[in-house]
Amino acid sequence: MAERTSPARRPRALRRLCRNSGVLIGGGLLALIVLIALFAPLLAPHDPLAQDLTRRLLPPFWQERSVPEHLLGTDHLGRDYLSRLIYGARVSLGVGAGVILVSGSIGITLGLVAGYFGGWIDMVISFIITARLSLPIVLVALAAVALGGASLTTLVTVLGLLLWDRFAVVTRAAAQSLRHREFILGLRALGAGKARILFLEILPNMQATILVVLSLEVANVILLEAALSFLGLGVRPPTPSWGLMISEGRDNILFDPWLIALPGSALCLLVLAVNLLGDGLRDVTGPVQR
Amino acid sequence: MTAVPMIRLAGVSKTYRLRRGLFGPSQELRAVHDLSLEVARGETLGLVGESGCGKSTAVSIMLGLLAPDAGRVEIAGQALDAMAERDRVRLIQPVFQNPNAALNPVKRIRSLIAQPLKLHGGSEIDREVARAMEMVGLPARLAQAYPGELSGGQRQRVALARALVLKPAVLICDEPTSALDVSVQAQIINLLLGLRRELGLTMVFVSHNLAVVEHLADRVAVMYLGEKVEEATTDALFRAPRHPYTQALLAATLPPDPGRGLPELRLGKAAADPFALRGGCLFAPRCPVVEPICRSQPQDLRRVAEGAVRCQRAG
Repeated sequence: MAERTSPARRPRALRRLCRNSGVLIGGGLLALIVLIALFAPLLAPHDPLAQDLTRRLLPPFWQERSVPEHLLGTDHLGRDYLSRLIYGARVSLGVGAGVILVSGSIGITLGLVAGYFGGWIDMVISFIITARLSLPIVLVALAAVALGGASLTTLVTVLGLLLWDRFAVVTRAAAQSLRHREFILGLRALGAGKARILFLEILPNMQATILVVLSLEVANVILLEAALSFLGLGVRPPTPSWGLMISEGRDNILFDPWLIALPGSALCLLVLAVNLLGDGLRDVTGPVQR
Repeated sequence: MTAVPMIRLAGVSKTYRLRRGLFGPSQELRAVHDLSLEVARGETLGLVGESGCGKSTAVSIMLGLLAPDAGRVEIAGQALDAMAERDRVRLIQPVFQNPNAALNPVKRIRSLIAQPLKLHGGSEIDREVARAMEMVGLPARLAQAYPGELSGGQRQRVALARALVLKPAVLICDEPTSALDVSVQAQIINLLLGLRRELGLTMVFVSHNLAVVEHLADRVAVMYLGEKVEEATTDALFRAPRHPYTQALLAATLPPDPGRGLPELRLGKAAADPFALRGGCLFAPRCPVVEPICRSQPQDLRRVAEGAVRCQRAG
């Protein structure tokens, strides 16, 4: 651990980023999905909530009965499937970003404080981390949603309050290795405040590590959102969520498997994109980290 | 010493309590014990000793980063613990051993040097930074670089510029050259000599490189397991070391003639053990001239001609 990622290497790191196929493919795919989510109202051919019971369960374009107006068909209430998929990206990404914002802030703060101060503070925070790790996420989320009622806000809050453990563990370890560096001692000799040392001096040294954890956690959150929505405890109908779409298509799985295959593939692609990007980032920043 | 000394440590002690696990037995580690030092204005004191002898703890105490368990620390006649942080920072600044670790790698050189000014409300920051960089011989074009792009010597210059930008009266150098190449060491030492003359700095120079200390220091204090075992003017110490530990330290410096082989140390095989029983003289387990009384009776610091020594045999 001679040196952490120093931005002195930034130009080179950028070039290495661009040469890494994982970063390129994952990043490109993720950017595409983000753009689709952002411009959903412009891209979606129909209102994702508009029902038309006369046009129920129309198949997508590669099947015989398909209608050109509904490229990917319609669901059991006659809602345009393509539009619902496009709007569903908003939920997935929005929940992902929201949860990471909450969990990242909690985890990074706890980890920094524990790693930097050590001693009994570290002991207390480590205990909290261990306690959190012993909670089964889905069960706790189910219980919380059952108490608070299913809604997007509840979902983001509950997941945000649960998923900070990895951030905390990683930043704690990084802070432990940084706190005895001489520049921290020098800053204390300069009379720099603790908050300044933690967030303005130590934190920027961990950006690569945190970025990797972040990408892994985003994928995790997106899958959890889908799982909870599938169980009817996440996003409430009629809001289009990929997990909810899979759940709604369940009844017709035998005759219209595309009802599940389409949102399933979308979910798969998004998680793949995030994971590829995270893996790529780890590969690019990894050797410099060691 | 007629004037008020710039730095005065009187009977300073610091004990760490080490504990194995939450309820494990605790052990006491005496990092610094009854250390008294005085450094006059404009003087350079060399602080010498092996690893673990308490040098770094002494440095942290002088910088106000660590509160001593006992004893008084005065800087320019004021008690350090009563001094406002602001005044302390403007009075005393450190330069650390490893320039790779002493600079935050994600900050540009300019903002690193400007940081003390920003923290303590300096004005004309740009001009002050440029002045400090010129003072330590850093080309202005490096202001926008990151520490990773600089050589070890340049980084140490940045660390120096950063320490000097607030114009402190005292510089505490904790082995500022030990991480550098020999040729670069010479440059940094010459720079320090020049700056000391120019700015009238008072310096405490911690090192285990005796050649460097001989070159820089006016007086030398030798520490062993947290205690000062000898103090003398540099000339006297290097000409006629009194304490057997100082003698061994000097003998351990490699002779310039390779034909003479490695020096004979006569220190025995034991390493310094801070947890060892403290009946008598701390150095007794390794002392080549030990006598039975040394093992039972602690040695006191005695005044001798040019300084002080903690050994009954030394004349």
